[in-house]
Amino acid sequence: MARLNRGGRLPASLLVGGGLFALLVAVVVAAPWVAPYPYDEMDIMAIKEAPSAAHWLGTDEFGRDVLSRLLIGGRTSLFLGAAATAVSLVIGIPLGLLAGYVRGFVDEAMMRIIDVLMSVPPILMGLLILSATRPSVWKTAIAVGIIYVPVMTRLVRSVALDLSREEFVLAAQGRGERLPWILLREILPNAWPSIIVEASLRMTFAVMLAAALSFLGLGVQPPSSDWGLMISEARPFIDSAPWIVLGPGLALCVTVVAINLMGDGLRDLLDPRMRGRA
Amino acid sequence: MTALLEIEDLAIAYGTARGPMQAVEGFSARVERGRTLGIVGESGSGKSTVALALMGLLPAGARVTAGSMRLAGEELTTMTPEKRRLTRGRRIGMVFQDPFLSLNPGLTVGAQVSEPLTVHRGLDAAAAMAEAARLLDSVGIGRAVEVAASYPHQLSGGMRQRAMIATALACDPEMLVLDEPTTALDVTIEAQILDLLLGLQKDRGVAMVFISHNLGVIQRVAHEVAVLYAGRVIEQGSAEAILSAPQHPYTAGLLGSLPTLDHRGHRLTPIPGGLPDPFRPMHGCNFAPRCRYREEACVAERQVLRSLAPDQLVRCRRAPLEDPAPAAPEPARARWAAADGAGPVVEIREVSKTFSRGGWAAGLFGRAPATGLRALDGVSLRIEPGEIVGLVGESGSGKSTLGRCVIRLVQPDAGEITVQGRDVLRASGGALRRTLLATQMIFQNPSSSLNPRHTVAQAIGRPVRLSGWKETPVAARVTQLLELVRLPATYAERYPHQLSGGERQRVGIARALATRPSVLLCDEAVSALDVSVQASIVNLLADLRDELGVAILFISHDLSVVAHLADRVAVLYRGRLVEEGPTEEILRAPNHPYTEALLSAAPLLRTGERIRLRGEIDTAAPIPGCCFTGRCHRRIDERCDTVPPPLRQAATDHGILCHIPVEELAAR
Repeated sequence: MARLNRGGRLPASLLVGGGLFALLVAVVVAAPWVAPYPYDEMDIMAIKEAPSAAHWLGTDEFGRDVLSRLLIGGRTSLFLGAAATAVSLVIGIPLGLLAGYVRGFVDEAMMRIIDVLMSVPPILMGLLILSATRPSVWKTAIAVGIIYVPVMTRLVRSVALDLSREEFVLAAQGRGERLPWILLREILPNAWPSIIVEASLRMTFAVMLAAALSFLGLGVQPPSSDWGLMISEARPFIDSAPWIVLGPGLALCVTVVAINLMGDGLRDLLDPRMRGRA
Repeated sequence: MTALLEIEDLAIAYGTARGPMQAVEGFSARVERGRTLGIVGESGSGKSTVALALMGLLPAGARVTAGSMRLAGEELTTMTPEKRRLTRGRRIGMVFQDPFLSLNPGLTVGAQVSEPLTVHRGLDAAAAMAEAARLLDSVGIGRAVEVAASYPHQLSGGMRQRAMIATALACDPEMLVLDEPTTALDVTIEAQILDLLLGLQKDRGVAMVFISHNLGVIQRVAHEVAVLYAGRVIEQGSAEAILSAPQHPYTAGLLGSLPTLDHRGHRLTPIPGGLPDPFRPMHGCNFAPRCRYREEACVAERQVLRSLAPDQLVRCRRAPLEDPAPAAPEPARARWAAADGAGPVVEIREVSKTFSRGGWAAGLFGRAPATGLRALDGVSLRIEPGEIVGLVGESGSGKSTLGRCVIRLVQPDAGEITVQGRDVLRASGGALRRTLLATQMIFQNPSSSLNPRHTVAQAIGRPVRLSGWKETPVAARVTQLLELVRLPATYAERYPHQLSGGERQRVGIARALATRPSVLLCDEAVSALDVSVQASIVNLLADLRDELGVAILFISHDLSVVAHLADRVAVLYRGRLVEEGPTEEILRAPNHPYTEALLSAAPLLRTGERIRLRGEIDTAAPIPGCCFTGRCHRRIDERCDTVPPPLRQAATDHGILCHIPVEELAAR
């Protein structure tokens, strides 16, 4: 990886996005201790109650405290987003680099397979991967990650394809560098900016896709929850009890903004050009 | 009578994050109908900004801060945007540098030429199309109707630039603004385009503002010249006066950095240093930090344009310069001498390469390579130790392919290449890697030849390690290599974006030298640089040969640079070596007709009759006879088309591939 931007100030977007994200992580990690109620405790006397001193974000259709569920569900959501993105990166980066640099038959074969995979709708893909076994959060994360491998591979390939034509890559070939050096030291560091931006986007999509799978009964199992599932479950009551959606909706928004800001900041931090002219 | 275009005290500033940046200041000029103003300058001089201001196309953030521009007495700076839009195209036409970018790939050429006709002249589609064909015909495009129906990618660069000129001329403008219109073209095509422009000017009386970094081109088209340096005009007046007797040290320096065929062997005199910081405008002369004639007063006092001769204004208090010639020539240095009996460093034997047009799948479906592009056709070339061999040819001649074959970036179909007696084409694994270290390449583009993520020390240190350097620590070797290319050791920690184009090119050279190669392959290594920087790199390459005895294969389209540097020149046309010999021999008759044309097309401030080549390099159908027959001005008869030409010996080591006997070739 490229050297960090030593001496320079950190990009503002990284400070804001990173700070926000760290806060989110801290809160959900501490959730079991800070949540005011157990997340699955039903109170049939307080169904769909508006926010009050007792229930800051109100209660849902089973009388469960929305804030508590939000905090606990955040653990699953953030974990799912991060793990799924990591899976897509770990598989997508090597495949993409290889296809974009080696070209020829390898590239052609991989791209046609990816075309086929991409023609299958993501939800259907998730069904295929998950329906065979008992659902679990881990499996959902891996399934969502695999669903995003083709997109990630495509992106890395197109970036690697452009970079392969740069003269510094020719120079490396000209002094007899081996494949791993060219891919990892010449091409990858220059591909990071695009990969980081894509990864931060993927992470937010992953949270939503995981929610959709949960909604179909393939992901998180009730009464556990994640933000996506909370939104899905609360959708019928959006007129009568909008606060149930409001909490997870806002949480998801903040997460998306934080991750994207962090992605932008990280991209700038890794870019030696941002160090300014000497 | 007022001039068609009058510019007075024009100043343009860019608003940037670091505050306003003065791009142009105090620019004044007049252009009469039927005359051409040449604006000369290197990158960063502000010459393109002037062109964009004339067109009213300044980018967001840039604005005219002072002065006026009047077209036939009408003020342009205060015109409403709508009126300005109508002026563009109707009264002022513009031609940009890159014909590959300035035509829309999704529209037919005819549609693009006829567009201004429908917009500005209100013609209907059919009439506009007919007019477009007539315009294309007037800029020398044969089969105009056919060309009008084709898309830009089906045309060559020269044809596209002709189409651009046709578009600019569509509404019969009073003035043309041309921004480096021939820079992206081959010299023979450039000569054709310049002829076309001169002819059009004569017929239509159109005024031209011609912007170029190339003094040779300016000399051929311009009546008046303004030399821009960092936003200020430093010399202005009649083209003849300025180009024959420059008075400003910068103009003199530019001329001194130009390699010319007539003064071979002289060391070029580059201008040291770089452009001043545009954010800190200088009160005095902004060229002073680079000037040999600098005195204290130059920096302290404001410099004004003053008149020395009737047609010549110069912004220099010391002009006329008492000593416009370069400083005392450097003492001759010890030349590296090859050990006797050492074999050639590189030997290329009968190398051929055909690129197939389809992808890897094309072969599967029976599309034979016969339809492919024959890039190299039985080329043989030897490079002796410490020798500089120049390889000249236009784009499409196969010269880059040959260079890439030597370092195995391209695998030839047939032939043999050895480096220091070791086979390159059939080697693999460790043996290949060792051989590759002996041949290092220097690339054209200083902005892409260095990995932006690696520091200079990393870029140079890697090949040092690969070559198994053990004598000193790698860091010490990096410092030594930086010294070799005349860069301070402190540059080791810099990233490429912190270097200027010339400095990056030096780092590229240091990186190539890091493996102690016996031959450097320079593929257009100086073509992307400004003239003054180009001169210093050319000098550096010559010095490195003298100091280290490294052989150089210098690949370029620019015959004047090649002839300046090389001991021997090989001329490539359509993948065949049509002439090869010692540089002195190449520079005088007899020559292959193609070399003859290249020599005469090179715009090097030379006078005399020029040979005009018809058409352009044709890469399509293979021909049984001479590869040059289609464009040759000395073609004899069908023999040239059907019989392969014999190799004629004009002198020892000087071979010409031509049907015409040597004696006849010598009599031009």
